[in-house]
Amino acid sequence: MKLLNTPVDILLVEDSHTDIILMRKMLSMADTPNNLHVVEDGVEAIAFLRNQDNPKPHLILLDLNLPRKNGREVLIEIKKDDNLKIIPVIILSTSDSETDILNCYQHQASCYLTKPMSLKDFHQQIKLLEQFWFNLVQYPDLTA
Amino acid sequence: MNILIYVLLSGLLIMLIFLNKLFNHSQYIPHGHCYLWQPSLVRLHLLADFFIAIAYFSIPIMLVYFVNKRKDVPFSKVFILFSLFIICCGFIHVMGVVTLWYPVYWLSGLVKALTALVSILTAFELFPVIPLALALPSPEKLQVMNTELKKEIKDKKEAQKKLFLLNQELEDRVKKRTQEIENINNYLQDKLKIEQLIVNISNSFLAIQYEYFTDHFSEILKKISLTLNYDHSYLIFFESCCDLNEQYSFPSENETINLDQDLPIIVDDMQGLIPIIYNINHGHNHQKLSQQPYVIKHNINSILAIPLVVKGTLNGVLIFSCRHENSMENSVELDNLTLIGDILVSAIASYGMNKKLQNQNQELKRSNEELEQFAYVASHDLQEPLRTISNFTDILKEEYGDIFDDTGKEYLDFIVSSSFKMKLLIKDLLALSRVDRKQDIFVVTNLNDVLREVKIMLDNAIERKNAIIECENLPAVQGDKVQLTQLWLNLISNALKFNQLDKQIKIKIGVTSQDNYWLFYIKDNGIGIKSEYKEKIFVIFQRLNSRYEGTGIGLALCRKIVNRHGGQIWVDSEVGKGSTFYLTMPKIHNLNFTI
Repeated sequence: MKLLNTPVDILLVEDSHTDIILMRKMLSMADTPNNLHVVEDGVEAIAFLRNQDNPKPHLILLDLNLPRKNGREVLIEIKKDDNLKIIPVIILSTSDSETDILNCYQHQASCYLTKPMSLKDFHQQIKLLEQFWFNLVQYPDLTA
Repeated sequence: MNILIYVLLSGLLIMLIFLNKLFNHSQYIPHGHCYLWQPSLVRLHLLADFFIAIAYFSIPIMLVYFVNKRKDVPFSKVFILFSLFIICCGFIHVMGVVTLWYPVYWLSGLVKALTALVSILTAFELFPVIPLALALPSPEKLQVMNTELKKEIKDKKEAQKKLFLLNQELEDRVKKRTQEIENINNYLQDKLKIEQLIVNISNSFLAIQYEYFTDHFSEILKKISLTLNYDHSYLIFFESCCDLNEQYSFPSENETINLDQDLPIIVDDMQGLIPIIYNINHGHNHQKLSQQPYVIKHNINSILAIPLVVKGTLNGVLIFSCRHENSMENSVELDNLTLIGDILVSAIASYGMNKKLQNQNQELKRSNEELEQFAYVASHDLQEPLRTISNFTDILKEEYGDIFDDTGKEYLDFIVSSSFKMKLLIKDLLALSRVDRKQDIFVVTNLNDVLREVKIMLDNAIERKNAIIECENLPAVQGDKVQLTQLWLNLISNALKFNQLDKQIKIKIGVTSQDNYWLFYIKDNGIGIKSEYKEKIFVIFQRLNSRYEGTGIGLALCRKIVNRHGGQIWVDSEVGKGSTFYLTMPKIHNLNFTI
C-alpha cells in the first residue's frame, strides 16, 4: 500500500536536541501528514519499538552516535527481530566514513544519508526523503 | 644261420677234442712210475711240490697286499707280474703232484708254457726297471738326505721366524701408520665438526625470530656441548643487554657457577681478553684453579674460557668444562670457540639494536595511530556543533532577519563564513587522518581517468579563471582511486589558486619514466614559492599567503597520499615564474599484470 493520505509514523532516534528541532521543523513543513516520534538513545529506541502500545513506525530515522546503545547496535537488533525487521531503517549520520557506510548496509540498513552541512541542503534532503519514502514507495499493510 | 651253427658246432667239437686231449691220460704213464712207486720217493716229491705250491700261492698274495697298501712304491706293475709269475710256478708244482698219479702231461705242458710266457713278460718288464731301481736311494743315502732335509727345515724355520718378525714389524708399522691416519682423520673430522658447528650457529642466528632470541642461547650451548663433548657450558654476561638473562647454561639443571667465588682466576685471566685452555691436572700453573669449589665439586679436568669482548671491554665469558682431558688440538678449538664468541657478541649487538629499533618503531607507530585517532575523533566531533551553528545561523537569518540591523546582519555573515571555513578545515583534516586509516584497497588506476574526473570537478574554476591545462597521456598506477583523485584535485586547485593576476594560467601535467617508478610533474606559471618554504609547504597548517584561501592541509594531505603509495613529492619553484611539483610512484610490476 502507498501512504497517500494516511499519516506517516516516523521514529527519530537522535540525541542532538538541535537536530531534533531541525527535523521537527522540516517535517512540519512537509506536505504529507506525519507523526514524528522521538527517542534519544538506543535503549529507548528498542523499548519504544517493542512496546505494543506504541504505533509501529513506517520508517525509522537512526543516528549512529547515540548514548547507551549506539545506532549500529540498534540496527542489528531491529534486523534480528522478526517483528521489526520489515521496517525500513534510514541512517542519518554526520559520519561519511566508508567503514560506517559499509557496515550499515551489511546490516541491512535501507539507506545511508550524511547529515548536510547547510540548512539549504538539509531542506533539500528532507524534501527528497519525503518524496521518495512518503509518496513513492509501497509499504506492507501491517493492519491486514 | 646254418653256417653259424656249423661253425659253432665245429668250434665246440674242436674244443671237445682239445679238452679231451688235454685231460687224456690213458696213453701216458703216471710220473709215479718213474719213481717206481716207491712210497718214500713219491711222498718226498708229493710233499715238496705241495709245499712249494702253498708257498708260491701265498707269496703273491702278500706282494699284492704290499703293493695295494704301499701305493708310493714304484714299479707296481712289475710286482703284479712277479705275483702272476709265482702263481704260475705254483701251478707247475700242483701239476707235479697231479701227474704223479694222473699223467695229464698236455695240461701240465700247457701250464708250463703259460708260465714261460708270464716269466718272459716279467723279464721284459723288469729289464727297463733295473736302472730305475738302481737309482732308488739306499738307506744310507736316505739318512744323509734326511739330515740335509732336517737342516734345510731348520734353516727354513729360521727364515720363517725372521719373516714373521719382519712381518710383525711391518704390521706394527702399518698399525702405527693407520693410527696416525686415524688421528689425522679424527682431527680433521673434529675440525670439520667444529666448523660445521660455527656455520650452524651463525645460520641459526640469521633464521631466528627475535622473540625466540633469549631462549636461543641455551640451545647454542647445548649444540656446542654435544658436538665437542663438554660436560658443562656457561654463557655469562657481566652486564645484561636488553632483556637477556645474565647467565645461560647447559645442561640447564646445572647449578649455576658463581664466577667471583667459584672461578675468580678465570675472571682475572679473562681481563687479558685472550681465550685460555686450562688442563688442570697437567699444568702446574693451575694448582690454584684445582682448588676452586666448582672444579673440585664436579671433578673437572679441563676448562676452556673465551672472553666476550665488546668494543675492547670484557662483557662476558663463555666457559666450557669437561671431566676428561681435553683431546682436541687446543689452538684449533680455541680459535673456533673464539669465533663462536664473536658470533654471539655480534648477534647480541644486532639483537639489542633491533630491539631498540623495534621499540622505537612501536612507539612511533603507537603515537602515530593515536594522533590519527585524535584527528579523526576531533574532526568528527567538531563537525556536529559546527553544523548546528551554521544551520541555526541560517534559520536566524531566514526567520529573524528583519529584527537585525545591518551590523547585526554583517555579524551573522561573519558567523556563516567562519563556519564555512571551519567546515573546509574539518573536511581536510578528516581526509588527512583517513589516509592511513583506510585499508589497502589498491587497484590498477588509470590516471587519465582520474585527471578527467578532477577536471570535471574543477570545471567552474577552470572556466572562470580561463586556465589552460595541458596533460600528457599518463600511465596506470597501483593505488587508491579516491585518494589519487584527492591528490590531483589538490595539486590542480593549488595551481589554479596561486596564479598571477596578470597572466593567463597555464598548467602542464606530464610524466617521465625512471627505473622502477614514474616521475610525474605538474608545472604552473603562478606566483611561485620562496626556496626556504619548499619543505614547509608540505607541513600541516603551514600557510604562506593569507591572501589566498586555504586550510593549510592540502599539501600535507598530498604528501601523505603519495607516501602511502610508495612515492615522494617535492617542489621546484622560482618566485614570480611558477612552481613545478614532482611526485614519484612505483611502476606496476609487469609480472602482476600479465593476465
